Amino acid sequence: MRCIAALVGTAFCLTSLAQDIPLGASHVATLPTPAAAGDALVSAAGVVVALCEGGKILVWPVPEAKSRREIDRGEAAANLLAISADGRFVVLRDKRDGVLVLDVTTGAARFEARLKHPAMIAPAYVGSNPVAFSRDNRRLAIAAIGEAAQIFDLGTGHRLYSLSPTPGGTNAVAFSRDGRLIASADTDGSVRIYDASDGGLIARNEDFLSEVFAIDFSADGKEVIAGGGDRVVLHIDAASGRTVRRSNEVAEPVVYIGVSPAGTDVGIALMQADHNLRPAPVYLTDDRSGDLKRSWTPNDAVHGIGWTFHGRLLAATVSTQAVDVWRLR
Amino acid sequence: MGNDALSRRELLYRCAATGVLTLAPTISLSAAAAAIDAATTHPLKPTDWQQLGPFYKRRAPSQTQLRIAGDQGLPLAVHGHVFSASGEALPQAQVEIWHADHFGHYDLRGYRFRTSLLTDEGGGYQIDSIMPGRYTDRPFPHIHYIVTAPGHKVLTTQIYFATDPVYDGDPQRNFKRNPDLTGPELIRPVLLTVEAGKEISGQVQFEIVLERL
Repeated sequence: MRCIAALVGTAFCLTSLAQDIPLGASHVATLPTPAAAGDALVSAAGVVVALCEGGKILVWPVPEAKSRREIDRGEAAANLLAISADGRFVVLRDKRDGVLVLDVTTGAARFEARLKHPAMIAPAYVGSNPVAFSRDNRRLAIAAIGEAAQIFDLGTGHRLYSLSPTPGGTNAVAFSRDGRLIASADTDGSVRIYDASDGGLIARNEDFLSEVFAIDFSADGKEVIAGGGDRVVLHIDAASGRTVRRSNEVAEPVVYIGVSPAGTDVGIALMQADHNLRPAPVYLTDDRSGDLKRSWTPNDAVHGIGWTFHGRLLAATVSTQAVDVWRLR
Repeated sequence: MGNDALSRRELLYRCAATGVLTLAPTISLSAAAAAIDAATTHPLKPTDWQQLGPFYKRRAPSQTQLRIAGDQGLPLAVHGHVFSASGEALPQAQVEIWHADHFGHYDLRGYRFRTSLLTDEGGGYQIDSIMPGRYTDRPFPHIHYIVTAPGHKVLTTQIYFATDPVYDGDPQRNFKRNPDLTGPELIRPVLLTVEAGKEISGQVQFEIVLERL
């Protein structure tokens, strides 16, 4: 009872839409594509990258959206999985379950890793992070389904270590901003927190019943913020794994969580469980109180979402002829 | 394992000698012994892996009757056994099963069409449920499994149904129409039964083989 009371006492509300909550998002840019884009991602540097049918990768700086770089990877390119904060590297999944890290400034491959089944939350599940870059661009964490998530040296391409094997694998991974911790959102309903120097398990949270899809660290690295099929967001103490705050239930599973550069706001995106290509709400919340600051339900499903260095929360939707970029904050 | 195989053959001969075991006239004692040896020396192929999610939920109740009055969809009984790769039945193995309802919806709020069972002394399990519906991004009806037994690798897998029109009546040839499959083994035949005065129902058998750690 004490535990339940504690959780209730620290609950925060994502669903009670007060009348003064701003709705909607500002349209930033329409980026025409020569073919339908399957995936689109947003980097912290404001670079938007899209993968079109036929394997053409398009890169735009936003909001200028004037210059566009094209890289043709052919039919082998299956999905875009991640983009580095500076927009320099993108991670592709090929149709043979290889993971390719590509330097978009040169179009050259940095390295390729072969996994049994790389996690692929994007695009159908919006913009979660099946692959995460450390802030210094030195390490890359790749979540995998059916095997342990793996950590690579981005410079050499060498695999450094694997995280704990879990029954179904890992949906998403995140580095703390200081690079000392890694958190994993696991298919068995666990959130695991690791020492990023050697992959040693520090703590585990088992307060979710369903799969965890989305994960990020608070700006100071002391908390992990996670959500998934349970349709709640948990704030978890990174040192102990204990839940310190729990949101009320939201309408649909949580598939993206991203903390703003200043650490004050959290972007949260949902996925329609019954039809994950249909639009679902995106929320902007206050990190400490959990209060809802903005709510937006786009006309098309969000494929990529992320914070820029300047504190803008950008989201990308795709249509058959363009990628549209929207700003929530 | 060598001693284990010898003891089985020895046991077979001793049982036959004492009259405990009687073989059908068409099966010789040596043929039966050879069959046992073959089963012992030729391990079973572990069941193919399939992805777990995305809507697994822990702590499902132990229940075999997943279908309740009023549920839409073809009544479907699923049964089978859990074996080790050496062919031994695994009692007390945990079999977690879940699937979508007739309309392709997973129950995220509760535990409809979700169960966690322990196999019986013979490694058997069974559920009484419905044929799952299809949903947009995975239009191939399927049932999810996680199977756990001490000393064995955890298996996550799924079964599909040979009655699904996508396989055009020939899953052996057309399994590749389902991009999640690398072979036809997980597409299970459905035995349809029509009894006078009752609704049509289906039965599916799914035998599971776990790989040793």
